[in-house]
Amino acid sequence: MKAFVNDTEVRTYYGAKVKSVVLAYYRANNLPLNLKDIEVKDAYGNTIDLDGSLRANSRIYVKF
Amino acid sequence: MVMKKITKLLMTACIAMLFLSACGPKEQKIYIVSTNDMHANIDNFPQMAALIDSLRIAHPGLLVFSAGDNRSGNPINDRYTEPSKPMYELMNAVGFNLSTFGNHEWDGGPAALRNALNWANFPFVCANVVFDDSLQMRNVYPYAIFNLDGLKIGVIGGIQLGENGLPDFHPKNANGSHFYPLNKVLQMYINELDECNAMFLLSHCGYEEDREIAEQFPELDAIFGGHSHTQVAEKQLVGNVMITQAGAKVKFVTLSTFTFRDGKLVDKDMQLLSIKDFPKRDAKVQAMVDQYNSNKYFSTVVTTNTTPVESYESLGCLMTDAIRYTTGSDMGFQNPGGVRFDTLSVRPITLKDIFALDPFDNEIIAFTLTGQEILNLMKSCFTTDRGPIYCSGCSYKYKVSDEGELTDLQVTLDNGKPLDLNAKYNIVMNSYMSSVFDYEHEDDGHTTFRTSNELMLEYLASHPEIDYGNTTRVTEE
Repeated sequence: MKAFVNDTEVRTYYGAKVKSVVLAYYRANNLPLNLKDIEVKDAYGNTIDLDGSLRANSRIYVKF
Repeated sequence: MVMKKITKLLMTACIAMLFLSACGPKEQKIYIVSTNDMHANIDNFPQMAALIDSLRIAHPGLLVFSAGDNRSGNPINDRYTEPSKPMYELMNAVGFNLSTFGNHEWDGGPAALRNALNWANFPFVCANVVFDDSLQMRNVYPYAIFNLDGLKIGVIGGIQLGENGLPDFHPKNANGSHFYPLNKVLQMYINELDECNAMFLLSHCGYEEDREIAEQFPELDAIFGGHSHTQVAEKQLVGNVMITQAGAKVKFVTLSTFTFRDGKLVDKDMQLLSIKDFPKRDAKVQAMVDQYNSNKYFSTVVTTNTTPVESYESLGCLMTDAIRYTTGSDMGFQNPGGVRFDTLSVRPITLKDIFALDPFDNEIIAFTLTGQEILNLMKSCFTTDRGPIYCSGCSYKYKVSDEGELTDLQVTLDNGKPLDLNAKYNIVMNSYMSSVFDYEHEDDGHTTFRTSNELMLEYLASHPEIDYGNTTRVTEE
């Protein structure tokens, strides 16, 4: 499925959790696969848990 | 005489005050604590219980709701002798008044769900599921009505559905449960609750869908949400519908306050309260949690190892066999970093060993890949420092130059034939590999809604002995 991390399109498997989408974003951008001390927000500015469920085309934002 | 006059004046004043009081607007407040996606994180229950008790002292009549996914996430609960019983005994002790279903409530299948409903001292609400009578699910309603000091509070339940028309769980667990899109049934129940002083939705639909529901059904006064593990830290309104959600795993609860004047809802507000910051723990609930955590469950023997294992690859072969056979796939793959130890003596293997071998317990993802795409996957490991992946259903030989470049890779299927680069194969791997391995392929894959440990235990249930000590499927030439 398609999702957006920091407004960059990411493709991952259907049913992916936030963590998987963030990891796919890291991979696509050659970033270190570090999930510690990151903050993930949804499109409305709410903090979301790495195990949270995502719908296709969701937009999330990662702060390192 | 003077005293008589004063008494008369005081009595007149009292009567006037009583009259004014009876005629003036009557203000009432109701308080609701909601949480969601607790995922059996029982260790935070003593603090949550103490926090809710303190709120109940301040606000008698306080209601406590769960927006679903009470289970799945802690083997102490999920693999208890009677799965999920610890969670429901704890929720009873805390005094929950209501829950809706999360998708994970089905993880143990219909029988486990039925047991959960029997253990809960509170009802479940879910408007968009209907069970076959044969399942004998009790204690489930489309909605509940609470009468609080003359106020009627209606609470409808609802659960998300994925693209396949089911909540996010393994489809085999849906047997006897029939789901309907929430927005198709919600209006009917809203109409039935028309005479309530306030109407809420206890939702396991996720924050974004909750916003859409709020736009579509402005009759709702608030949505207590779950599923997306969203921390709604401040009051958020969509139209006039307040949407809350309290993160996940018993880290927060939301305290919502609703103010009524003469029975009409005039104000609503919410606070997100941190559980870990609450200074007290409920002693009774702590004792219950300690007892569950000291369960001998982890010592349960699940198989016996018959040959000494001294390599990560041998155990990787066990792990890939487990996910491959239990999903009926052609091949299974495992990243080396996900195999957490390499030595296993000849001895009984316990659940503790299994969870130590694979503490990540990732979901297993299914793909249809061509032989070429599988080759791409295998080769991708040599462009990083991950090392060759472990496999089931095939074996492979590879050559690496002195400079560390992969120069050859030959894959042989279990039937002795070479991998057909144009054929399509059903393969499985964990969600970590699915997300981080960068290789050219078409299929995005889909979750099986089952985790690696779950499949491992299913595999071992039919393998009372394992013999992987000499198993190797990856050879460097």
